[in-house]
Amino acid sequence: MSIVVRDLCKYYGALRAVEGVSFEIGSDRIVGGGIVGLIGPNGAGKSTILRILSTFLQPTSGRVIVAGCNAATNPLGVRQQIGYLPENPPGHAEARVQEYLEFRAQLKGISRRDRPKEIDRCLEACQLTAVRRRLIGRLSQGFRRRVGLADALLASPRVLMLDEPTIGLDPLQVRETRALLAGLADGCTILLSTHLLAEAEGLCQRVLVLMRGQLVSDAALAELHLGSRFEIELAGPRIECEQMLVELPLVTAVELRSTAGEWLTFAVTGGDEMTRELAAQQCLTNGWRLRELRAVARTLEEHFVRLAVRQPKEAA
Amino acid sequence: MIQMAPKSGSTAPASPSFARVGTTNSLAGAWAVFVWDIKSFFLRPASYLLILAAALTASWSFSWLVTLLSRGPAVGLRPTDDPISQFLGPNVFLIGGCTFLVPLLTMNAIADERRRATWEQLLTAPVTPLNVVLGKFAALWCVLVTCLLPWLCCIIVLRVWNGRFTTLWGGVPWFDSPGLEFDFGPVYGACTALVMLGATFVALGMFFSGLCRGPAAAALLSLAAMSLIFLLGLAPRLLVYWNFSAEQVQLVESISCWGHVERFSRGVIEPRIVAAHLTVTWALLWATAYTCRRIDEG
Repeated sequence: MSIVVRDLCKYYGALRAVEGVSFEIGSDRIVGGGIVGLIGPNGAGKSTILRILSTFLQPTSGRVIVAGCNAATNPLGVRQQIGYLPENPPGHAEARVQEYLEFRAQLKGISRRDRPKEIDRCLEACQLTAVRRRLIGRLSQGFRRRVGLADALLASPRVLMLDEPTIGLDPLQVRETRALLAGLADGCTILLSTHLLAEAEGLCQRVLVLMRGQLVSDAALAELHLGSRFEIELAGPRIECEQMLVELPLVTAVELRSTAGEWLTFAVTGGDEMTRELAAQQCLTNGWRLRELRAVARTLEEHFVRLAVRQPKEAA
Repeated sequence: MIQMAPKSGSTAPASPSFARVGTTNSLAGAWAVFVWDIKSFFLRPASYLLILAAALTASWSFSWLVTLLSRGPAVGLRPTDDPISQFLGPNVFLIGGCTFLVPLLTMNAIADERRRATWEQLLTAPVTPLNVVLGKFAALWCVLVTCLLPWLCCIIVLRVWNGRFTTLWGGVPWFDSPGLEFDFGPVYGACTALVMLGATFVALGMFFSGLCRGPAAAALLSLAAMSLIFLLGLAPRLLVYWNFSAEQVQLVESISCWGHVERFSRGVIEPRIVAAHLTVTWALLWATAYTCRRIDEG
């Protein structure tokens, strides 16, 4: 496993930032690794979790293991295995990009002989070669962010932790950064925090949703997309049709969406392919006419909104 | 339409297999921070202004020394007062200069890193907080010693001219007639004391920088501490004036930093005082590493 987190809690004084968070991230896509998104509203605890995983902060309680190293007992071991992009880009305004990366490479223990090659690789990967001699203070926010990303890539870390990696980038740079991360995911595990749901949806294989410091959902995107929802348009007596749909296995809710003449459209939540097949069979058995039956994939945004709405109710 | 996760493209160049040393070697991490901080200091134009101010203070003080020496034996120094000891020892220009210089140098050490959000990047690299503090301390110490170099240069000028002074046009000091017997003992003693005291002061300034989230607050705290040390330097004379017992005066003298410089500048290096300063410096550095991590934790 690349990252193992057990019952993680973090308090800032009396303020609860993270509570009871547990998850595991595997070393590749097959075992729940690849690119994992940490999403949640502002103040949900995303950055705090990344800071704890990068050993900048210590948890109040709980266990964190990154790349086989316990963060509490072997923080240096963790730091040697990770590349971390904090929320803020590098602030060394008076240094040049290359000088800054040389310093970071030296700090990360890359030998003098290998340093130029490694820096060139990261500059190229982040498309910074053209600005390598420019002062960081004179770079745009987007370029600074990429300098931070190049720093995180130095020494080919096993685990990359990126806090809002595409914030401040222009659309083209966002696209390039996403492509870069997708390419990197073959060689390492990437945990990225974002509140851009489209980004998480387009990039991640798995998302962890945080709300008020608690992990409220941990699901592979494919699972979410398989979507446990379908719409059915049929002509028949309304009460009986609704009853038939409610009684289908795995169905949790049925809602009448619209009526057009004798045609009724129901939105059915829950169920799988078999449920849809059963629904069609029941229509035919009852002699009702069936005009449309289609699975509706649930977007990450819908999933997120549903969780966000449910949370305050549960808290109340 | 749901956009699926992109397939593994090949936009990222393949990582070469390079030998990773790994910065578990504590000195390698501290050395990297040291070199970077020295570079960063000399990249800022304000640093040169600071060095210039230190050089001007030294020159001003030197002009006073030359004026005193040019008056020859008629000058009203106490019998125990050697001019060189007075110049490199408890000299108000030197004490005042250090009182302002140390806060200005050290305020940025950690507090500014926090303000610029570079502290987080530094501490997530494979290097321990103590190594970061050690690297920064060594860099600032070197910078402080650089700022004090003009004082030594003044002494070299004295040595070259072998203490021959006169006054021109009724007051302007000038080098002329043979006079002063040059003794290097006080010079060595004072230099040792200043280098040692510089280390303690830098460690103290760094400690306050580690306590704060902004350089201004760190500078104010350091200035308050340095002023207290300055006042403690004056205390023995005041205690004598107020007829305190010799034991009480000695006790205050033994903890007064500027008192230490005065003793060293007479040419006597006391290992006990050196050991005390080294211990205090190390304790402050350790406390800096410890407390700044506690502050980061919120």
